[in-house]
Amino acid sequence: MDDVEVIKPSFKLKRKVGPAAGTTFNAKVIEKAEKSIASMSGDYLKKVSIDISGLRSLTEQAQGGKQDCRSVLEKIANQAREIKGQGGTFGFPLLTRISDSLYQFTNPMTTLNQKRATVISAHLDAMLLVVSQQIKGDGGVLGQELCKSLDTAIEKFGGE
Amino acid sequence: MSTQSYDLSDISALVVDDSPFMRELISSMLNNLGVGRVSEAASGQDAIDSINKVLSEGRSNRHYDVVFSDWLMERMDGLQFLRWVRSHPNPDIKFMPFIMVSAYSTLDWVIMARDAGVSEFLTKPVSVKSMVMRLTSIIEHPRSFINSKVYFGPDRRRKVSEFKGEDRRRQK
Repeated sequence: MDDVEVIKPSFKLKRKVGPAAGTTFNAKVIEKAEKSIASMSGDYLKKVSIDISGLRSLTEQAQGGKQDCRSVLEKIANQAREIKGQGGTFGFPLLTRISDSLYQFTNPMTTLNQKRATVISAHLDAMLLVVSQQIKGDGGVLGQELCKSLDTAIEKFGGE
Repeated sequence: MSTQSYDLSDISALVVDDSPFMRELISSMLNNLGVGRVSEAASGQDAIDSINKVLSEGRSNRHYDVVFSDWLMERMDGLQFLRWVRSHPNPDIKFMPFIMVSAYSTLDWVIMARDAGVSEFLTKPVSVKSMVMRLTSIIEHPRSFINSKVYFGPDRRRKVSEFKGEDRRRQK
């Protein structure tokens, strides 16, 4: 019979931060932290704009045969995943939705043709629109239309 | 009853992510929540180097109290880093709360992290509130650790339910 040892928790962190019962995070501290993160939103949008330009340039190079398609697609998928992971933090869930779509589209891909490049480009255009217009939330009707058109493009050209 | 606030000024955190912006974001959240010392590393390997440096200095009060690590990174990913942590001979390292931060949150990824000994899973996009929830969990509800031939890490049974098989667990 294999022994399974159960080691009880030490509550080391609890002792360090405030052992009294009922101790918790201060609501004002949480509010201050949220404001501080919101103030990074401008930097975030600048960063995403630069990332999108870089991805567009990479896609063009891959199409022109100057870059290895597989490594470019990997870079695009990784970058899309990063953007997906950050958009919601700053109140841009539409950006998260579109970058997730780009990630799902490019992640399994190993070759790039004109039609696929067009779909990637459409995603980058949509992401740039969200960033330049600072479209927060789900983007309302415009957001729905954007996502629908990207889904259609993937359905139409994704397998080719 | 008046509510006391946590004092996190004595807490030391390590943030591991290959994206400088994500490192800045998580560090900023932790600093704003009052965490006293926040260090950063760009990969699992850099994180190990940082932990080894603290160990070599021999100041136990400088050990990291909690790790926030991204999953997918070059030069050792978050899962490999977690396995290194859980197999470390020093108890200050091997029992360290480890929070995996990832945009991959499907069940198979969460189970993979759980089976490697993760303490909590924080899904990107990260918010201050989700960060506070995970911190509260490791402060108020740290889980027992399980040590067996096939697993070392926080108890994977979060729900208290009747177990019908043979009970092989012994308390320490």
